[in-house]
Amino acid sequence: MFSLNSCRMAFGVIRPTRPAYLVVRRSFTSSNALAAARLPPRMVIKEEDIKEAFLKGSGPGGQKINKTSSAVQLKHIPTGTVIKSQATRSRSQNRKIARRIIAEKIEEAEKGPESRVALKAGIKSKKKASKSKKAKRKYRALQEEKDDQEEEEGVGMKEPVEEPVKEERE
Amino acid sequence: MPRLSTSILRHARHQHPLLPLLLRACHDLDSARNELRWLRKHALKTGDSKSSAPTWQQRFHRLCLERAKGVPLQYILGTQPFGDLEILCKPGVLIPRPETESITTYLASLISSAFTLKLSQRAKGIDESQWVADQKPLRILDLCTGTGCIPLLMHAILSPRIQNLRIAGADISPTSVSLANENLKHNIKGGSLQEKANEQLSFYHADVFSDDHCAGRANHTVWDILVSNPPYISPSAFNKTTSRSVRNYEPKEALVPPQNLLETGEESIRSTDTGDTFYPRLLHIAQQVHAKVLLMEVADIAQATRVVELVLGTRRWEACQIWRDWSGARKEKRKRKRKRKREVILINGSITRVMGEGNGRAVLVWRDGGGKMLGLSERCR
Repeated sequence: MFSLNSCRMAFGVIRPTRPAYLVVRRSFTSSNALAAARLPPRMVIKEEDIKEAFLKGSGPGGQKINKTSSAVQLKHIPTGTVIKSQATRSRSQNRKIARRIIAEKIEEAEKGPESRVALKAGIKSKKKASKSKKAKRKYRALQEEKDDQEEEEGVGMKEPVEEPVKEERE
Repeated sequence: MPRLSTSILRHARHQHPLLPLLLRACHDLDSARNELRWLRKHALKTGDSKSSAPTWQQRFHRLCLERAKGVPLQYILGTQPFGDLEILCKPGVLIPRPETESITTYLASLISSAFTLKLSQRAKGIDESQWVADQKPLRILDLCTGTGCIPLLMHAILSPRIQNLRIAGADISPTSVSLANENLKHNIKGGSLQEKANEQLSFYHADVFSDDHCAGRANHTVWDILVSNPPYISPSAFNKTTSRSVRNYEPKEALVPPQNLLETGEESIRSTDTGDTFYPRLLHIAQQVHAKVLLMEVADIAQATRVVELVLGTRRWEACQIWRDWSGARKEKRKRKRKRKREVILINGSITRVMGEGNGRAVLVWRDGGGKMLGLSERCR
């Protein structure tokens, strides 16, 4: 059995270049970089202010049990904020992630809308809004075109209306 | 094990149809949900482009069924994180434990900071890099190495500071030795170990109890530090206290000391608890190879106490400490200047320090400047 790929290799068919939509999607504006530069620096929390709770389960450990949880719980002593990270299987990774999350949380509590997290969320929601706006504009234009065509042909089918909705979800 | 309640099962099924399967192995919703996520990721990642191959959903379902039978997650996924390393795991070799990770990291950090202190106290006018290069090699031997996790992590932590390293791991199982070598290559390739680990790290096949082991590589070389995570579970504890997945799927020879030694072995072995078989032998080997530091993993504080009694009986060691699971924990607290009582136990009339939090996990002994090597100086007698 030849797969499509091996056929291509065997007969020297030239690989197709990148699909056009991928090229178009690339952003040529520097708005992202600018936005990142405007963000305040990440807050670093002193190790002395953090208490790391070692989640010691009751009962035996070591060779007798094979734990898969490597959750890390941190408490910021001055504010009393507690967070838990169990994103990865690696404890050392979880410790890093937990420290980042707790720094973000405390910064958010301190600075409110001026904090890095809030600013980032703002940028993200703005981007999303503009994206959906563009999408709406595009499909409205498409729809209008179709409607025009249908009017010309004189056929009133309702079916194609569903398609743009599906696309929009992607 | 208590039965799973219907409410938790219903709750799990509501979240994901495969979650109740994982509850059989995990017994709590939080870790079941985590494992579901990791298994899903694994099923998606290990795709086969052949059209006859199962879809990722089929693979996902099969993985969950396997886990429900009790197969350790690490054998299914094939890896276990250990410090910043990724250790390959295969059936027949013990999976590295987080407690071992913790004590290994703590030992390496002690060595590393003591080295830095020594570096700062060097004579004036000596170049730093020259001083580092001139140091005698630091030799570390790990017995019963399994996946090779301890030597590999020691190298990963120490090699940025200490240039002259020589680390070896030995195991009785040929499967272990080949897996340890695989792990060495895997982590160098992944970038978590330096290239020089190839020359500085080695694994070999050896039986701790045979005399030709001592006549072989371990005896002719002098080792500064000896580490071991030997089988330490007694047969009765194996039946009662180990979890199902450990009992049914992990190699028993890595968990329970061989019992035939008890009938034919030395007097010192015969008189102790059946889980303690390795410790007299480890103390003996440590003396043969002139080790200055010996770290042995144990099951709990009771076994730690028994091992300390053995150590005191030999009268060859300067000092000893017992480490709990999270050995670094108390150190952080001391930094915050909150005064806490130091935990000690009185064993055979001598005071032994207990470090960290959690279950008793390891016994550390040293002599002949071994304490200086770790930045520790107190005496136990």
